[in-house]
Amino acid sequence: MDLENKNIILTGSVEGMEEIRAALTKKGASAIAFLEKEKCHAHVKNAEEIDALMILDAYEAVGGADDEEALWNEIMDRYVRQNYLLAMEAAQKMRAGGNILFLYSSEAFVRTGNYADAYVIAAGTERAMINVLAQRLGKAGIAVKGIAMAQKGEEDALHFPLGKGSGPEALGETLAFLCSEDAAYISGNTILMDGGNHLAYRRYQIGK
Amino acid sequence: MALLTGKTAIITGGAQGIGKAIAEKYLAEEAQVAIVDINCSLAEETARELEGRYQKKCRAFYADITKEEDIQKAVQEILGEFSRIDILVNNAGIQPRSLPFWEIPTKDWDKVMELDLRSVYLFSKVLAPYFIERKSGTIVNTSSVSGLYLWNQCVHYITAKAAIIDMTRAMAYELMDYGIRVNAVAPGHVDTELNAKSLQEPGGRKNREDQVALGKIALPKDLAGAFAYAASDYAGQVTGTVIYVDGGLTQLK
Repeated sequence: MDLENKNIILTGSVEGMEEIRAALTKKGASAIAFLEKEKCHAHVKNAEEIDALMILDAYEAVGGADDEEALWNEIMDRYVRQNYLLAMEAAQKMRAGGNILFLYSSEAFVRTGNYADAYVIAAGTERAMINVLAQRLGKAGIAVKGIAMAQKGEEDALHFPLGKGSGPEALGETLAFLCSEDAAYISGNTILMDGGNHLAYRRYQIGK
Repeated sequence: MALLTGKTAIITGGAQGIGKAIAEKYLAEEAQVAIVDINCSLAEETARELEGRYQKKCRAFYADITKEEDIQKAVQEILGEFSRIDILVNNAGIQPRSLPFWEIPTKDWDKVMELDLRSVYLFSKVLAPYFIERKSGTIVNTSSVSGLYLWNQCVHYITAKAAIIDMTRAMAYELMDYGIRVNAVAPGHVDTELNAKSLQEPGGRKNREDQVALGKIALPKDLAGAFAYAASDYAGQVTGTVIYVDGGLTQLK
């Protein structure tokens, strides 16, 4: 079993945490801690050893949209600054190598126009962060990878030729895959899991 | 349940190297496998070996994948033997010798385009109507990071493998309304028969290891998991994408 005896920390705000936990448990994981991001820093600092950190953000609306600077600061703090710091803190505890996974918005791949600039910039930054951290942490045996999904609230405005999908079970299985030996050589990149929206949205823009 | 239970997969170039590793992984994930290869005796040997080891049906079929009629014949034979096809892995290809592009014999360019690029189009073209009729099926193409991570003196290979990425997206676009997914897997440095010679050159292995964030060259088995995931129902929301399996070789793109 790939994830047996692995210490896994989940944080973030994505829906379907139970399904995700079930998918990881199926692969043998028993020590899974789920923490809010704000509490996660302390947990990581106190941990003896960590094998995997999964930062699973649903890009929920935060802050007041009428105050662009406050919105910008809040988004950048939650999705960029805190995620970077958490990843670096967790890396210190991955003495035998490990995995750091980010779930973020597929706006990093296709701009649909449904989100404020700051969200899209944050998503693009997370995409870049995965690559930068992979370069930085690779020699310590730490792989850094991402999943980009269409986010909560976007669904109605988007186009999913493959259907809205397989839901949290498929997300859980994809996370379990990315943490497994089968994906040990994947690092610095993202699996785009958006139901084909990046293709269909283009068709919507240019018309059939 | 295993990732590919009940599915039948065609793997081109499955007799050896990455293709054989994909066949092994697919069988371990409970798929049935049809190996299509030009090297018939080696393909049969591999199929017998793997069927014995995994106790799942694995058979060899001959095709020169640069010939449309060979592909059509192989597909008919495979349907006769397995009664269904769920997955096509376009993996067969060659890695040509390195030369400055102005010294590459034009016949070498043509051969690489035929084997590494045109064959992917042909096999997908032959199977697409069958997948469309069933409103089900998935294609996984073997690309390479070579188009992103430029190396010297391989302009034909780089061009073909980069074109596979755009072909993957374009085919995914045309097939998405039928529920058929098309993705590519892009390996980085891999230790296979194709590049054994260049790895043995002085510094050949060390130079490559130094380029990779994880500090090592992949074995074919390190790539096989991504091929299995891409073909599985868990990747049901993934189409028109490239899954890079390169140990962090590539920088931002």
